[in-house]
Amino acid sequence: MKENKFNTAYIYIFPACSIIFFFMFYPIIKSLYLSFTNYVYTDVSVPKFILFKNYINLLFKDTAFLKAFKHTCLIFIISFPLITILSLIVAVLLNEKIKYLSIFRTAIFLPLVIPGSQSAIIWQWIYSNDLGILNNFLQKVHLGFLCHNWLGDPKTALFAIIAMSIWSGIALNSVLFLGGLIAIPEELYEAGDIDGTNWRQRLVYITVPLLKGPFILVSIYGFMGAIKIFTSIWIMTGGGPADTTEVLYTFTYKKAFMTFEMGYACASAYIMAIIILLLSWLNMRLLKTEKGEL
Amino acid sequence: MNKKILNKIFIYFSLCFVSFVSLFPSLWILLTSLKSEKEIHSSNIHLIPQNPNFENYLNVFKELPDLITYIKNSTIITGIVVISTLIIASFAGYAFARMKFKCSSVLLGSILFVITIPAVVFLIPIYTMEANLGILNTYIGLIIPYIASSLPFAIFIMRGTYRGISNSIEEAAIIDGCSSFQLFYKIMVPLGIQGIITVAVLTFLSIWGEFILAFSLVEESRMRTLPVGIVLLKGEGGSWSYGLLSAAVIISIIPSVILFLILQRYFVRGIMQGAIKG
Repeated sequence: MKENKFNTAYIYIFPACSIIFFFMFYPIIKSLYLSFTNYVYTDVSVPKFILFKNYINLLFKDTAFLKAFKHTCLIFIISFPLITILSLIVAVLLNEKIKYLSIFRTAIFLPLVIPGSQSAIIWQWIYSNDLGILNNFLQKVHLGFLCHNWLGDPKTALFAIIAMSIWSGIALNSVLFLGGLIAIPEELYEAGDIDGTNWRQRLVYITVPLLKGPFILVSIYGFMGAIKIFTSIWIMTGGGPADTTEVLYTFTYKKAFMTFEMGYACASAYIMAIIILLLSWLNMRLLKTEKGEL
Repeated sequence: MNKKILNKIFIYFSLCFVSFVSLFPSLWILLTSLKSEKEIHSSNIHLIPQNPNFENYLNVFKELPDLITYIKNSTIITGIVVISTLIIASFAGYAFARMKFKCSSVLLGSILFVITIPAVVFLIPIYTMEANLGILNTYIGLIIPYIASSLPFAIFIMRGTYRGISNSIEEAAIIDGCSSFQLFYKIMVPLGIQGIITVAVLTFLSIWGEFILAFSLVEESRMRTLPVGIVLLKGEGGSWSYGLLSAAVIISIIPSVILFLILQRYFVRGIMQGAIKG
């Protein structure tokens, strides 16, 4: 009986494991190997093993990479606190007992299902210089002097992209926070009511402390989202103007598929992956210690 | 009492504002698609179409015949990926939830680890691999990587679903003489239907909108999927017809929006589940 069960398990997992092995694990390991070589896709000569040279060049010599790194950090530093605070507020509002709640939830979560490339097209259009609704709106409210070629000007392009990422980030993160809020037992708020707490006190002393789990998740998603931002930038600016919106992902992608320096690109991709893994490991640790204290 | 009413007004007002901001981009495109080309290009933009009509929707397939190809490609690819992922993940999720076998936790751990890796890491070797196999620019060349990248999360959700089913049902079935496979497809699959819908919805949405792999692994126009194709349509003419383009954008997001409106519950739960345990 036991023998039998043992065997069937392997049959059940075989299709999944073989596909994941050949199209995930193997490429991930191959990529690590390539990152130690000077592999160029269009070059017919055999790639040479050059150990950490790609990594050293990227981190210490390649100013374009460091600039892309800076922009990725900038996106994270600006958008993350805003997304976190705004989506917490939105989630708290969506947890109130009011009429038409489901309509509000639907409206606020909807951006989640608009695919990245379609929303990039829409936003590019919103920002557009002559036909864009943003400039048109500014003119109508007599702020015409603020009109701008938002994505074309090196000074504003990155901020225009950050604004869009905040728009899409709020939808995801308010779902995460709302999940945490729903899990908070009603009795705590009732007890608070008896003690005569006001709205602000409830938020600071009951809601926020009990949302530690969602907070940590939101920050993992925040890191990952900032490092993985690609489609919107690729479509809206392609990294331009003057490389001001070049981020780690677009940099890596261009190295891999435009100049075909795949060994170098793999090293750059691995730096991204390592950052993500370190940060999520750190976050998991924090989550664990929080649980331990509780 | 007065304060309470004020509070309510404040809540409604803020929610209306946030909803407006979050819906605005899609709403604007929807309204634009109902405008004539002349109205779109006039210097004074009205949010509401002055003379709403469906002209753009009637013309879009005639003027942009490629759009039909893109829709066809996306439908075939997404359909096959969703169905295959469901079947494969149901089996694997069941095994991880209910069966004991060597290395199960190590295997599961490494499958879940894959979720965090940015796509560009495995994309580069997949590209060279597919070039060697000669399957760039084919359906299969996109379908397999899509299944591979959808599986980890799908397995995770299915495992959670099957773990939630009570042991006693399984025991009763075994006493009644069910074989392992019968137990799986006659009892476990119907009981796990919620997880199956969640996986179907999340997989559909992520594949229907996927850009990076579709953009890199397909170079021929006739094999393009919708998200990539629409960007190309926009690029081709540059300044051409925004009315048609917005109609095309609306058509391409309608399936996702309808699915979301019908199955929102599953979608939201899927994200929360993934978040809480992931």
